[in-house]
Amino acid sequence: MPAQSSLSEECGGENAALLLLKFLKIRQEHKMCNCYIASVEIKMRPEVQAVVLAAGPGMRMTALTATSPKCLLPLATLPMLAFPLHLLQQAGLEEATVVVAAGEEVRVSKVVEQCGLTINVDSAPVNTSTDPGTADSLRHILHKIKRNVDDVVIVSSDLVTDVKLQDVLDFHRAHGSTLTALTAPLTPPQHQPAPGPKTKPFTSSDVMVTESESGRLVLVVAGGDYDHTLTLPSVRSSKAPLLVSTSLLDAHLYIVKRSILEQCLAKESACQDMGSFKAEILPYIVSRQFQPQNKEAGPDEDFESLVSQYNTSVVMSRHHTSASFSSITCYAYKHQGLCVRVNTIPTYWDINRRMYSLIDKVLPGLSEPRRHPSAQIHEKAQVSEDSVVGAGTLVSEKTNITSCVLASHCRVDPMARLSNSVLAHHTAITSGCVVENSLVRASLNHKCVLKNCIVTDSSRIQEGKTYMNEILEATPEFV
Amino acid sequence: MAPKVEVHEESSILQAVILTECDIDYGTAITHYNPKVLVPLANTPLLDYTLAWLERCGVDEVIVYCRTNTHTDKIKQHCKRFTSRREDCGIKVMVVVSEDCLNLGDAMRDLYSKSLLKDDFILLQGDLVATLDLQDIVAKHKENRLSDKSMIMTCVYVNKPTETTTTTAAMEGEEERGKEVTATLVTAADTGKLLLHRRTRSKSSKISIPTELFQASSDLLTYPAAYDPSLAICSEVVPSLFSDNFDYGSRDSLLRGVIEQEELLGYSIRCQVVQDGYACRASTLQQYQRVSGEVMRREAYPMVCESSLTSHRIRYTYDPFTTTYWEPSAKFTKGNGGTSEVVVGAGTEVVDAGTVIITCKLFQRGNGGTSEVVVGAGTEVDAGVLLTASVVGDHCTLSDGVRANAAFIMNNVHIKSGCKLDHCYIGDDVVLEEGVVVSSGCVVGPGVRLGPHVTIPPGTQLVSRPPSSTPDHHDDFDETTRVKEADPSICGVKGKAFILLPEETNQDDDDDDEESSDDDGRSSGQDDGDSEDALMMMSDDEHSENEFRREVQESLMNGMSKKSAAENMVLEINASRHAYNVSMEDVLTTVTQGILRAGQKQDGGTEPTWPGINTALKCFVDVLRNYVRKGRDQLLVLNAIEKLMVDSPEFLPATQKILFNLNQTFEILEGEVILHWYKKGGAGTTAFTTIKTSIAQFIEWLEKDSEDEEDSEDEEDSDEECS
Repeated sequence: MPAQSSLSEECGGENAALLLLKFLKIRQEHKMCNCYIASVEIKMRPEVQAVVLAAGPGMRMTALTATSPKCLLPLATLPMLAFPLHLLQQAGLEEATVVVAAGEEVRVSKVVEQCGLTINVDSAPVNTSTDPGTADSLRHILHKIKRNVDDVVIVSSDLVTDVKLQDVLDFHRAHGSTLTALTAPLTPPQHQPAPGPKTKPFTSSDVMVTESESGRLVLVVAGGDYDHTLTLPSVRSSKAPLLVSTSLLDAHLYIVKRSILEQCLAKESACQDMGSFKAEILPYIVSRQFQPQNKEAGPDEDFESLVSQYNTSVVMSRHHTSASFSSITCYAYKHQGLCVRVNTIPTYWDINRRMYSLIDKVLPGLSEPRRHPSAQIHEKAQVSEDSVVGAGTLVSEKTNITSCVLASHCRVDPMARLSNSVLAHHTAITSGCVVENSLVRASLNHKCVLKNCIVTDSSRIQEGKTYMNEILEATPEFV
Repeated sequence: MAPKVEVHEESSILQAVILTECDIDYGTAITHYNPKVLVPLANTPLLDYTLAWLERCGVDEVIVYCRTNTHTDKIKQHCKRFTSRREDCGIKVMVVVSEDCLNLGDAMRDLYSKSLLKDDFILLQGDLVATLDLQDIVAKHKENRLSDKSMIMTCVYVNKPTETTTTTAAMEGEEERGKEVTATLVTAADTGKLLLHRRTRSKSSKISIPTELFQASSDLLTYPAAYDPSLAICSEVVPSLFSDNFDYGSRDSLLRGVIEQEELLGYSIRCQVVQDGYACRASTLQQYQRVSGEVMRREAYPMVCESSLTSHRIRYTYDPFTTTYWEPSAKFTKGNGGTSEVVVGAGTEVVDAGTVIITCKLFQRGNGGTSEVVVGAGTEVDAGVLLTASVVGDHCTLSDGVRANAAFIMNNVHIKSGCKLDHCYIGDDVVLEEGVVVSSGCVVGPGVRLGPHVTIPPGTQLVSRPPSSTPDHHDDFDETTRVKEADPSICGVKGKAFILLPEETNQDDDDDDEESSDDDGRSSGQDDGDSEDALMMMSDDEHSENEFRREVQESLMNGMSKKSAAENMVLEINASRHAYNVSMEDVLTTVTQGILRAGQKQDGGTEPTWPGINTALKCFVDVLRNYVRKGRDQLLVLNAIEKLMVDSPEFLPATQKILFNLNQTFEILEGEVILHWYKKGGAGTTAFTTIKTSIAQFIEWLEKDSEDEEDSEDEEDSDEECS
């Protein structure tokens, strides 16, 4: 059966082979003519590969990331990484490459089973001692991107959104987009103020210029990268008004054509010195849209032109990837729902506090109960309805808990009073503690009063003291 | 209750102001005979399009604003006819004439002083052809104005997603001109407030946006090139703003002023960018051609050629297959048939002619030609005539073999066989003999005769009378004024025509002016309309200089009578300098001349006398010294004195003494500098030769003095010698 061998070669993957066998079986049953086989297009090869960038050090929330990698910080009871993974899984992806800081691979790969996800995680460690940028991370795992995929989904580990990735992928394909970026209106945190000392909100916002109707990206400038004037490229072909927006959040979810990504990350590329995907490579790709095509007629192109000239019956398949930059079109997918990047303490705080109401939206289908069955809540404890209580958490009698997030395996001793606070895993609150509007990541072993505080080191807590607007963290030791 | 309603209705009269002296003109060959707004476009005067549109949009009162000139009566009569011809005319047309209106700002100031504008009004140019929904635009304007009192004006722009500006061959030969009527806009996305307004200059200009605009609004909507039909809905604040600021000449300068001084004035401007409807100004001849084509292609529907805009009767037969319109009385004579060329008429019967047009035109479609043609009443078109994208007026004759592409032929034109017309304008009563070729961009003025067998080079403007008789022009027609007889090499043996020279010098000046003043209005270097602007600007400069001179003179006179201290005088002069923005050199010139003149006036007599001048010099020597700092300044003083002699030679006798005293007594001028200046021939004015003779004695002495510098000459002696 010669047709079989050639087909299975072409479509690769085991799934394709399985399908082919199935198909042949059907064919035998129906006694179909042999020639049909050649005309069948097999669609089983994976078209999208996902990359989750989870090696970020969390520079804007160092108080929290000193003890735990950023991607594993809990949002309610789940680690942050579970959210993008779930997003990918919902879109039907079966595998994701997760770039993590070296040494965290094991913890990261455990996330999947902890959270009941089914997606296969291939963790790729990078050495974070050199402080690699997102582009460096991508270069590091470039060899893991399969040759036969069309698009690569790049997503940051700190994204919490209720967008349907399938919609974004459909948008990407429908527009024939080279690069699609997920954007959403920038919304201020609902729960303010965040614990800890007062901080200034982040400085200048990104500027995104899109064609107002089509959503085509015209210019992307990362916050702080612009001066007194912004120069828009001349878009001669269209008269569509351009929306110059500083109120759009770049969600750090990009769908990029593999060929373009490979070109940008290749050693000899113009981007070889770029460290950040968002601030450098993305603006570069967007700007390439409006540059004149460089006519480097390679042998492939010659062949293409010959084919199109003399053989009109040959239509290039959409899998046919031309190696030229000639037709880059970038789009912004404008999502109107929830889209938050958890990369600062205020956003982390806000998302944690809102998680009670958001959990159904951002993790549809993942039945993570708000009150875990294994949690032991004393019948004389008062726990408000809008609190989240994780697995194995023990809440003693005569406690009062309102609008709190208690992660798994916490212990709240009698007579403790907690309100509007977030407790990390394995946090013990000793009896008599009063905690208001605080983020507690270490056990409170002494009776104390906390207001608007962040606690990451229990040794800083002294008996009977009151703390306000403070970060109680381990002082770095200088040797 | 009832009277209250009436009052309300009274106050909500919707007014519109049509400016007939548009900022851009068609050139004297046309506008000398007919005002621009009455130039027919597809055989309907431009003004009718505007009036008909305004009437349909529920405008109650139209003010047609024009300047006093030969055309005023024509416009008045036309407006009268327009309203009287239909019984149910809903608009009141009022023609307002002003003596000295040079631009939109003047018109606004005049209307403000006449207090003719009561409420919100529509401001537009008379060459606009539009079908926009004005009622909707005005309603939005009023709504915005209710919510935001600081909003004083809504500018209307048209941004069509499909671009149709690709005119194949430009009428004027300058394709880029069309870009002048577009603007780059930056508006706040939520409110539509205009934050940045810039004329689109070059084709591929990148748009730069000041990032400080993000403070005003986080989302900006940018229109790279929105078409500007010069249409605005203004509140009653606008005319008052114009009359408060005399430097606001055009709408653009108002926009710039309001945007730049938002904090100071507290006003804002909004934009409405419309997608639907048609609006285009026939501002230049190139635009005229474009609008004409678009009207013929029914893009301005329901304003179509076949229905008269004044009486609404159907005047033309319309063939939708070929976009051809003809008046039933037009004759298309039978041709031989069988020619491969496309002919307009091949049947004696008009209806037949139509059918033949269809077949022929369909045939021509295959060649990629366009076919929009309008033929007016009583016109005779012979067989073998090829007309494309052209308009033929009433009572014309087109003989066999005439080919016209994008030609605009007015009334009573006779074109004999073999003529070729391309992208040109042919005025009333023109006769073209056999074999005349009119190249693209030509304007043939009314009454011109051409031919036989001449070729008119591209871009020529021809008039029937020698151009010197045209009043609008400046005296750079020396050559043509001398030739009173028409040149047969230009217009042919039977011809009678004179070339109207393009005013290149003026245009250049104008461009410079424009660059230096950074888009002063849209006075783009466009034919004639601008030379006026240029003149006006020049006189503006002169005016401020004169004012400065007058002020300095006044300060000096006052200072002399009051014996003011030199520092105070300098302070006063510097204040004037800043007020009129005069350069340091000009200040020195003015001060020098002013001092000398002060001496003359102080004396009381008209003849300047040395004692008077001497006292003035003594009085102001410190003032002068303050301005003379380096050697170059000394030369300026000398030049100033020389120039003074040009204007008032009565100072001549005193020159030697003035120079001597400035040199010896006051030590402001160095001997060497004077000698140098003398040898170089002074400032090179006509007065230098006379000065030369009058100061020869002093120069001789100076030379001697510099030669034997060692010998300390007695100053008393030399003083005597000189006097």
